[in-house]
Amino acid sequence: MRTRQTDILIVGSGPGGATSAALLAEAGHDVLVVEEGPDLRVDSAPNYSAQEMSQKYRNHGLNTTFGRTGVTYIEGRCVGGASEINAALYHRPHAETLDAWRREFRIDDFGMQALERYFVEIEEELSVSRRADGLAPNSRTLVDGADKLGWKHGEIERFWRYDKDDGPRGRRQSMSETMVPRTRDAGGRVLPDTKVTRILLKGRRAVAAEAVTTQEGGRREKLRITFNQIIVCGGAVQTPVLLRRSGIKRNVGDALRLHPMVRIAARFSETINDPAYGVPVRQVSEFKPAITLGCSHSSLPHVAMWLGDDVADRGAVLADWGKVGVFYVAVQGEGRGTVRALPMLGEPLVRYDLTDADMGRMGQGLEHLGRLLFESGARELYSPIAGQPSLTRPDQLPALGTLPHGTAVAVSTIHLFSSVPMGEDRNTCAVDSFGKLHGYDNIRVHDASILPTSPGVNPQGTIMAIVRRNTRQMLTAL
Amino acid sequence: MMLRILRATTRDRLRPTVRRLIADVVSDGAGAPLAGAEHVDAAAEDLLSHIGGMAPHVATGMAALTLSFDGYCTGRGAGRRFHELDLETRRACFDAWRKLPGPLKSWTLFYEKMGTFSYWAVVEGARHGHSGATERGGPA
Repeated sequence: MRTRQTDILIVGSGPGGATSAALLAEAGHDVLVVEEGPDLRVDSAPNYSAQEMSQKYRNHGLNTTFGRTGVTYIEGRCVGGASEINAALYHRPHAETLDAWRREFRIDDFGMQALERYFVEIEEELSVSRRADGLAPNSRTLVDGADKLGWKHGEIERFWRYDKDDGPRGRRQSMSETMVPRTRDAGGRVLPDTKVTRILLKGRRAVAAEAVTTQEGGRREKLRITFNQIIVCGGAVQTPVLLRRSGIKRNVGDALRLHPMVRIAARFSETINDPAYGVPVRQVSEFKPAITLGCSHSSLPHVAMWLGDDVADRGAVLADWGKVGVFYVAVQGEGRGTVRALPMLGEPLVRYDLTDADMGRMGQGLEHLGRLLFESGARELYSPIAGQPSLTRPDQLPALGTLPHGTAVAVSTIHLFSSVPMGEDRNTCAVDSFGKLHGYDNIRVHDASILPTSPGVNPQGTIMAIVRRNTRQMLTAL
Repeated sequence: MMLRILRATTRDRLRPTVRRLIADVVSDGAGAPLAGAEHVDAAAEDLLSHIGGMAPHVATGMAALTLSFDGYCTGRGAGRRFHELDLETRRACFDAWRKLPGPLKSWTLFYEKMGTFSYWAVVEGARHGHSGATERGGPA
């Protein structure tokens, strides 16, 4: 077994891990980032393509929760993590959400005022901006429908740069383009294709990590890494699994939350898809934070997948697929889940129970979305509920509004969090107000796991701001 | 080594069923794949690769359900496996599973969604040299 040594070991290179690594390396610390996935360019595969699923998604994007209604979820597994594969959307959270977290979970020195400087830093350093290339045609349908109904809507900013060398479409400012190079420039090391399997403990301290690194050609080699501090940043599923495999179980993996999402395809009489625009960035905020409506990525394979199973002339619809857009309903889930490490395999077993209220909100959201799409000129809606015929008139919409458990409908999520919650309430929280594990001196968690509950908006900006705050606090203590 | 042989054997056993499932979910009423039958083989290989890439316990479950479905069809089809049945019987078998509870219904949803995605990704790739393309994050 080979050995390596570092001052600070960071497990995972997504928004939490890469941000922590860059700040610590730039402060002069010896940092080693270990990433299970490969080190690839941000443009190594088209977004949301089959190639990208194989290259950068954990388990090819085919993960599911277990429960009355399963939820498909995706996780990034590459240098840069989720920031390489998602829509790069950036939201500040609602101040009321942060206040509620501070009160209910007893988080010290926390709230919008405490996080303000970190949001500003992120917005500058990651070029958080509005689209420079105008409104995508499918976003236009959302805007038109919302305007006719008098519903609130807005453009969601992204971490996206529009320098003159970037061309008219700009360039995603994912972690592999920003914080990972900054880490390396500051002397930090990044070790891809290496999975940490266990953290070794001695009393209140973690002393080493066992890992397996995969060499070119597929040869595997065991590795032992010793360190003074360890920061676990594997995301809301992998972080609790690693901690539990290592024997750390108190309040770990007991309170998973997520934003469940359902999709619907709609056909218009004119072309609404321009693949060059990529992911549309408009959302209808009328029903936020409970329900968010928006446009999804709509390439030919995605349109075909979401057409449903009862389409009169599928061939004709797909021959003219540019007229079909995919739209989504995302809800602030009330359900809770657990994350456990399977015996022997060590793989995560994720249980999540969508509540009746969650199912009701998704149905309600589909009905709202259908109304909006008809208002904006949709000719036909393709129901996501298996066996349900397509809809051509608004009076048919109540059929979408009921989603009891057991309905054959594809529910998915890209937002998972809260599996290692943060706060001073030791009855419910696993880490303290700044991400340090209760009961341990040198183990921290810096990722989506520590968000106490659902933020009701895209969580990426919130995660990065909290991680910056916690890393700065860590620096004062080192 | 044993695990690799087991995986390859399972893949060989699943291939004709997966291939026929994809062909059926992307077909018109007469059973002809909408963008041509020539893309079905590549889509089946793609989907088998995705199944192989799932977490081991999920991949095992998916393979077991697919083999069970084939067994169910063999019972219904007088000893013939799913891919050897006529279109009407194949559709009847699939519809029967779609009405069953829990993982069996989810299994049909998986093949409908991912079978369709894989097939059209291959079609897209054949037309444009890549699948599901959009902005790549770099200069347009």
